[in-house]
Amino acid sequence: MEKNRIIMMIILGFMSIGTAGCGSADMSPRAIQPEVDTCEVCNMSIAHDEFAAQAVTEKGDHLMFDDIGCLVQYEGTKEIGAHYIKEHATNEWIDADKALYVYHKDFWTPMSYGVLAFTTREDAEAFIEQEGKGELLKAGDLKEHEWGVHSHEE
Amino acid sequence: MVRMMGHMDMMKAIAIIHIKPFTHGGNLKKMLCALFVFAAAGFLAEGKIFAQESLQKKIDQAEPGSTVIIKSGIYNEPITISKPLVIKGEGRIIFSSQSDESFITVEHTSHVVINHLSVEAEQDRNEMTAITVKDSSGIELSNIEITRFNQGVELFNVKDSTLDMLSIKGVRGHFSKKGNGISLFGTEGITVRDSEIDQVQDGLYIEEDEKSRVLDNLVTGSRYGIHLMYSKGVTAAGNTLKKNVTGLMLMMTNQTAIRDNRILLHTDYNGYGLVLFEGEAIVVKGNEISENAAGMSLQKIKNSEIVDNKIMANQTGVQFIHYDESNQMSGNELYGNILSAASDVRGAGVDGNEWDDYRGFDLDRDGFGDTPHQVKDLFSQLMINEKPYQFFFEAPSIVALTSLEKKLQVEEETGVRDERPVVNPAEDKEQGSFHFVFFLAGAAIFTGGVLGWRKIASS
Repeated sequence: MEKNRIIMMIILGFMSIGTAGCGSADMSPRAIQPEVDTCEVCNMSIAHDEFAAQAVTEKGDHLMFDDIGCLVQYEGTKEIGAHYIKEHATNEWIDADKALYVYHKDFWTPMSYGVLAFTTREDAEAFIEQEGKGELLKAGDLKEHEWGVHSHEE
Repeated sequence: MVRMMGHMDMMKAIAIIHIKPFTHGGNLKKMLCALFVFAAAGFLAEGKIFAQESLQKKIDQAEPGSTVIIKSGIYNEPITISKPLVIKGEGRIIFSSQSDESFITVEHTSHVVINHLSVEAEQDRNEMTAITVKDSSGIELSNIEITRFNQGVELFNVKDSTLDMLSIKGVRGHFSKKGNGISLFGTEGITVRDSEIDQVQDGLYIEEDEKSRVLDNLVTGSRYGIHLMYSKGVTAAGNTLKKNVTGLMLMMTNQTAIRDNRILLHTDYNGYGLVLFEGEAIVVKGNEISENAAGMSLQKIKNSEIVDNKIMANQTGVQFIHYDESNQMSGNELYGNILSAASDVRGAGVDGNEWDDYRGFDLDRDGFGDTPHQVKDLFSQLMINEKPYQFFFEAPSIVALTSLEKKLQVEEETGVRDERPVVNPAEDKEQGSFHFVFFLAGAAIFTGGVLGWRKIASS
């Protein structure tokens, strides 16, 4: 009787360990660790986290990018579960699908792609007005956007 | 001219006047009087600067080509220069400003010389740049010492200018919170030489530049020693890059020459001596790359030459990622590295390098090994893709697996392969040589030994 009890406990123990790994992956973004995080595409360390992007794989692995352009390049090659971008004004993570983007060759970003993210259309349009330049892009436009590097002025 | 007296200087002056009466039996009335004077002095000294004449006004009034002296003191007035002038510093200058404007801005002009300047930002946490130059040419900055500014010198759309013997020391703290030592944006024909840069984000950040030269500089304690992006025809030679996260980072550059630099002690988690990323027609020659986490990382480069470098005492000597056959890697010496080379699954073909872990022979004595040198290490391939695996580097189980892998190794195209590994000709020559002096000495010792032994045995 005692022997069966021990065997049952061992089986239950293994089952609980096994099921512990079966939970759904956490798809929320994580904070950037500038000491160790580097861009998955260009290998640059993420020193300007206000321009960073992040992808979360379906397994829950977090991949960091120093510039939205690098994230778009990466997405062209691999499947991901969720993706986020830093909001230009607040430096907070926002869903890259729901964001609106403003592009101009003169906007400095770490890889000089010149694309910045905003939560609302009003914010994006206000930024364009403030800077006196910029083109409004939706998330769907990013794949078609020409991601080459453009000369920019100060 | 601006005449200045700092708060502390004024306090000292008043203290000298009033301490004497106290020591000679001063009373409460005198003490109260002194306190009143101190308080009044404090209010007066609040602004710190007593401007008699604006420095900007003096610059505006100066004849083109004349010399303007900036004397020692505390300044809160940014200055702009837009005509040919010589600006010379005299003594230590402290820049105290609440705005983010540069201390000196040079714009839309040519032939401005700034030298013998020692300038310090008053507070550590600021966004200020010491010197900004825009849309100009023929600018000479020399013998300038810059401390505690967020950024040292920035050049925008500047041509044919020289930055010589600058000393730039940033503030303490993480690199992500700082600016660069020297930044060149859209520049052409700039020479940066004999400068020392410490504790900034990137020592030299160069973007969209053409034909600039970075010569004989020392960069330490920063994120990247030299960071080149989207530039063409830049030369970096004779520099020492030491104890940064990465020594030299080249991204999307063309026709870059990296010669005779010393790149050492980049041992961080993301540490590299030299990273070449997506460049073309790059020449890396005669450099000494030692004691780095990874000596050299070649990522997606084309038509480039990596020749005659010494790559030694690194954790991994050379990493090959998406290595293209159009590159030439030869004449390099790789010794004392824990792992001489690593590649992704594509592998890499190189030719005529000297590897200290080559175990073959040169029986035909042509200076090259008779069999190719093959480096294929599954763990190193994993380590390229997953950086955290480096924590298991040289762990006993990994060493055992790697040894087993080497024993069972068969020749294949994947991995790093040198078709003609160099066998040191000097060593080869020594093996077959005959030294008469050593022969005589040996014979004498042997004979002496035999005679001695016989004498002992017979006694």
